[in-house]
Amino acid sequence: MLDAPLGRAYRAVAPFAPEPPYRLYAGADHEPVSVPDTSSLVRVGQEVTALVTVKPRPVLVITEPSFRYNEVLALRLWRFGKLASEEQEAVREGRTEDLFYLRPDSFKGLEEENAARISSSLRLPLSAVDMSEPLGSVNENELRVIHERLVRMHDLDLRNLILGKARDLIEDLRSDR
Amino acid sequence: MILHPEDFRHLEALDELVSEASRLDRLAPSDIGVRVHLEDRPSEPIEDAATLNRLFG
Repeated sequence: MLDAPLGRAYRAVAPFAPEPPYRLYAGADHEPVSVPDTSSLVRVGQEVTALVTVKPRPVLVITEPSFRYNEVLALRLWRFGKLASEEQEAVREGRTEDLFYLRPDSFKGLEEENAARISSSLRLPLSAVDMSEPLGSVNENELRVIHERLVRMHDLDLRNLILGKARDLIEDLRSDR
Repeated sequence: MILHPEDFRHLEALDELVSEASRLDRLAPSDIGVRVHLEDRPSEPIEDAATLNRLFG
């Protein structure tokens, strides 16, 4: 059993990443200022408040909270009601590696079947996650599969990590002799 | 640092082994995954003051 919040689904306030045209907050008595492209905003180089759409939605927490920042990495979910029946079947049968099927018997808090979207990881502060009501959880093996797919999705190069670990293990074996 | 030739060969072999083990198949997005990704956009966020006040005020 994984320690909460790891591996649990919760409702959270998830932002859509801001993209142009940017709408900048200009105070209570003014309409937001629109900036059409990224280079205009970058060129000014000043901190501004952009209006960002947020959506309360279920997410699957896939990391422990980071010690310093109290943030977790989470995946957005996708409801089966928004998939055609043959698409639903493909996800259930594991034919879509980027959509991880969440077994309904483990996610009784969700109103319908869902898939976790491997391509949609987002960092969330724990304060943006409503942990008062867990919606279900994956088990250790399922989480391991999700982590593996996340690494493959982003093509992360783990070579140095594995090499260092292998060298440490060999060193330990030698010193035990 | 001077390495014994045998240790050097071991390290080389380990390097090759790890290179092979680290070579992962990149995960190709499925057609369904791509569609879902493109569909997940802001739709019609509530921006009406009266409605927001009624909901959260």
